[in-house]
Amino acid sequence: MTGMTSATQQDPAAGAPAPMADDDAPAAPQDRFLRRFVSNRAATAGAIVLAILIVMALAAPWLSSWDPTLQDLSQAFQKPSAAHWLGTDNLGRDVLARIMYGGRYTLLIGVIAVAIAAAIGVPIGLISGYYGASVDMVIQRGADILLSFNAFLLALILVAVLGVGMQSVTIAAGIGVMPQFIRIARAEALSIRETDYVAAAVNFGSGSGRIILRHVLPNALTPVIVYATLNIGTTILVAAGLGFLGLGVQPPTPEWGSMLGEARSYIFHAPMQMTFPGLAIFLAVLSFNLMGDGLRDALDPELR
Amino acid sequence: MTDPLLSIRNLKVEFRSRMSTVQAVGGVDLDIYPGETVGIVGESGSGKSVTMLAAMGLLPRTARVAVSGQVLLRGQDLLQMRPRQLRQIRGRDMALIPQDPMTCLDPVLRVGVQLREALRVHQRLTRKQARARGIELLRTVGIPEPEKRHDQFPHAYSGGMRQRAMIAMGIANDPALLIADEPTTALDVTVQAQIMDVLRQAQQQTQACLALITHDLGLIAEMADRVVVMYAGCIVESGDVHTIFKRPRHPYTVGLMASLPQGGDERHPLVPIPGNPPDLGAIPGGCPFHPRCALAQGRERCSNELPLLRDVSAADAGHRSACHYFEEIHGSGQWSRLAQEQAS
Repeated sequence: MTGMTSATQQDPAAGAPAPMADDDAPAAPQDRFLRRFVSNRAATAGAIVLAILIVMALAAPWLSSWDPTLQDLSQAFQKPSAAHWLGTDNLGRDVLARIMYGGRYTLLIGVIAVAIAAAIGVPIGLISGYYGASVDMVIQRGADILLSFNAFLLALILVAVLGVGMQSVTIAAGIGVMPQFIRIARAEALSIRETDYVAAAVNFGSGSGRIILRHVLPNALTPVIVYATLNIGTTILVAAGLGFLGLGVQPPTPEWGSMLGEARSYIFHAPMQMTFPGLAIFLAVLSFNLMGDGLRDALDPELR
Repeated sequence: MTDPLLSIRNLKVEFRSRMSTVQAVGGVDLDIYPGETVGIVGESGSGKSVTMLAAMGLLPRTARVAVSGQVLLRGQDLLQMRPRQLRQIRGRDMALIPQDPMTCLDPVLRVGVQLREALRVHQRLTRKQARARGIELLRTVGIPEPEKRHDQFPHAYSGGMRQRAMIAMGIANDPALLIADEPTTALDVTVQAQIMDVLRQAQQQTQACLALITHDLGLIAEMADRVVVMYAGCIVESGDVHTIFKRPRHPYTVGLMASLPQGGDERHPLVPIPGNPPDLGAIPGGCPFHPRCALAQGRERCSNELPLLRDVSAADAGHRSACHYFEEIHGSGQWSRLAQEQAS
């Protein structure tokens, strides 16, 4: 979560053998970043909620004694009680356990989908923006076509092609939000291309590929990271929506979206069953969005 | 005389826009010989930077920029080269040290990494070798504690240090020709002198030619062997530095020198050149300088006929002027008299 600063330091090229010697520099940028992030209450709250959700997902076997797939029809549609804190669903499964285990799928799909989107979209966008001219033209018209679908619709088309299941939902949600990564990376490349340090690199003989990798990519990372964080919320919603339609992760796997879908039939009889997975999705999306805003403000106050 | 290292022949650069065509460089001939320092002087917009950028092939190759003529580096025409070939020459045979050191270093990369990039473009070096060479380069340009500075980010560098780092990147591959584009304009006066020392040492160590683009005549007097004075995209006077400073033979050069402050000397008041440099989209006919020239005085030849660069005298080899009436020029005192007459 240290965002850009950690990203640049993990850059293999920056791993110079000697330890960092910034002792007479003003204040290390990563300290300033951390201070700004923590002073933003909404972002901190988002990070805390997210941390809780992640811990719940990871430590589910220790936090809950219930098996999320264990059916007990005699216990169906229980209201919240001491035994089942959030009640049970139509098949008598513990809802809390299902939400905790479900976080593993929903959160993971969200993060991996965005990683896919960034991994494909950013290089394409950088190339488009850096080379410009006809390359840019072709790529941008392609992106226009993709952008004319909304992310969910695009993902839906892809699921139709790829089939249902966790893997295809992840890919579909990723491709769904990818065009916007192309746009963002292109916009960054367009402005970085005109900087003096790129001109200097050209005049010392660097080729385009080297310049994109060494100068354009690292400098474009800040907005990409912010945008990626904000987009995890979107991919979670897309994946949950697909799950709700029964096109996502298949039962009995407890993914939040498919839990919502299963509960839909009982919405008047047992509204609780639908409330909690919905709340979980809401909290996850909200916390990613708050964190994204916080990252943006902390990494680059001028972006506000 | 030996063959020139870089020889520019009839270089023209035009920038075309929908509305007009701007001739930034109008037929420049320039030779740079091994080991010498050439100062290229002129006002802003006189075409001195564009000439060198065009020579290095750094102007964008689009329909809006028309570059014609020849730029021969050791006999090879750079203007005919493919981008790939040009890339191999840039940084290795000729390197440009850019104007503004504050923005020329990538803020997210350590200085050492950027030095290594400059090195590895042209040489096969291991990481360790590149680091050793990088530190050595930083030491050459006088950066204290180079081992420590090598691993710092540019924000920890002062303006002077950044310019030193840029010079280090410039000399990284021992180029035969260094082009310094106003290397000191962005710096404090006190730092300027140090940077020029660094540049001179770097030049001596690498045996490179130095093309110094500047509008600072003091810098030229200090550094250059030969001077080229440009005005409105053309060379108006060129010659040996001592000759030019002692006996300038073009009214523009005389004007430049008269507008140079000379500390507290009341007999030599500051005399600015009247008027402004011409709009390059509409360069005056005849001699481009005639509307501002104290010698022209409405003479028809000045406004009708473009003066060509010609030898001033048989005795002064290499001293050339592009003025129809350079014989009438005697010294800067005369200029101030003329200028005052013109003003009154």
